[in-house]
Amino acid sequence: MAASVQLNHVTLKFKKFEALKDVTLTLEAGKIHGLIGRNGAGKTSLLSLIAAFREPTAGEVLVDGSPVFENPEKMEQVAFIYDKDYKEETEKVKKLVEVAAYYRPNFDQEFADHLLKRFKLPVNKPVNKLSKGMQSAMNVVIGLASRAPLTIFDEAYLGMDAPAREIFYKELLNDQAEHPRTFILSTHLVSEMDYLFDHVVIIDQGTLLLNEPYETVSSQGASITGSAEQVDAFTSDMKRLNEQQLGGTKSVMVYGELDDQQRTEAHSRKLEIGPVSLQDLFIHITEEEVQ
Amino acid sequence: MKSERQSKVAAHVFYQQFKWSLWFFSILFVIHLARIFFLNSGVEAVDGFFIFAYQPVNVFMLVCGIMIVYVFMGQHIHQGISRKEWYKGTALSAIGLALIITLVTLLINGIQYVLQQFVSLPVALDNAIAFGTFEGALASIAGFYFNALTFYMIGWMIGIGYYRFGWVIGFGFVALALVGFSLNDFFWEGNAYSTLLASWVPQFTPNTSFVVAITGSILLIAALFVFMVSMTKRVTIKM
Repeated sequence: MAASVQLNHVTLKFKKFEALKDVTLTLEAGKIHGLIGRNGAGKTSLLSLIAAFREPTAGEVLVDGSPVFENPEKMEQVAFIYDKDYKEETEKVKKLVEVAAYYRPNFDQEFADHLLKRFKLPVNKPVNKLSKGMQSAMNVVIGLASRAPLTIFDEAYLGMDAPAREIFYKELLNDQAEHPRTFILSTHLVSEMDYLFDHVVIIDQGTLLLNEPYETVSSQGASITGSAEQVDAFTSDMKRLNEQQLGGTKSVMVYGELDDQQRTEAHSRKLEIGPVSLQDLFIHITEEEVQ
Repeated sequence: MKSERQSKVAAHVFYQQFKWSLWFFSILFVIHLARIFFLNSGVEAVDGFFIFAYQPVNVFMLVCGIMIVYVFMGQHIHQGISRKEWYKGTALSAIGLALIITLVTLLINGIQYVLQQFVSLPVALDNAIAFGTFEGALASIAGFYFNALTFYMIGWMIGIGYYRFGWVIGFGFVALALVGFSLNDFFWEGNAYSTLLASWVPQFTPNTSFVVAITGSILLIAALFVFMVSMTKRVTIKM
């Protein structure tokens, strides 16, 4: 079970501030979508509309073709996991997991128990006594075990250490293979999570900049590696995103697709061509927007 | 499916608040015993549990009503429950909670009555209302129930006012609550003159009829239910 998302000309205003400006986008069912944007880009606003936490000022938000706001059948399909403030939450971990199990029709208790163990979560501890990373891990457990057809993780990893984040990514991919659904992963840890994405959405300052399959995005640039002299000569006319040098070897990220002629030339200059990182593309695209 | 989800909300909210009420009744009962055994003048009869519990129960229901919005609304809507389903479930649980609380009060009152037959208490108990004439008892029980429900609904109204509009406008909901209390007082105690309504409607005559009380009370509760639909329908859920 997986649900698609569609936004048609969605605008969201908070008094005079426009958090989202005329956003139109479709997220295909059954894929893992990476939602990338800088701080304040409008990621959480966008996600809270998809989760029906609020209504858009204009436009429509559809889940599987029907408006999601106050639509019980559609709202039930959406799980929105975000960095929640648990300062006042005195309930135990176990209790909060139970609430999800009670309401979520596809909740898998066995899977939840497995994840609780994997994250070494103390189930009998009050949630407000847990570390930030542990609270995030609990959110991840609830989000994954709920198996909602549309599962949204909005920077759900905050505070989690690297091994815990690794568990999160692995469990997500494993479960996606067995129980495919639609994921939206909002993040700014782009370099760490890019391998998870089937599809990439980049927003900046409330507008949609890019909505493409991951392969298409990564082919929008290239990394050129070789002797510094040759690399510089080859990339002199190109848009450089990033460069690194170690001794005489240089690696430059360039923006734009390389044509066959350029590839032949690179080959003759003994240069290696690799994919560009999503992180570099993201930085480039959003910086350009600011300028 | 739809009704299943709202029943789930009703059951969950009811069960949680019933647990709160057990704490509440335990404390109230201890205080009641202290009144009987230690805090009595030895001369005047002490109110029986039913009469004693009347005001505290109302306060408890008010607090429950305020808290449901903050404790459960976001939590349940986060789990994919629609606002409407949450409203319906919570409304059902409110009706049930007021009922169970009335019954628990009566039960404790009954236990107290039975105990009284076997144990000699240091002071007389006034059990008149609950165990007086049939008509009087029924009227008191109905009054107890409708008051509990009204206080809960008014609490809910204050809760959603603060949740939705923040502190400043929230105070407006407190003012609205005072109007609700005054109306309720007028229906059940005929003393609206001492409260807010007096300054607005000087010609109000205190009510003494049970039929007027019950009709007015039901209308007030109905109005509160309708108001809560409109307050909950499109509320933005806090994150």
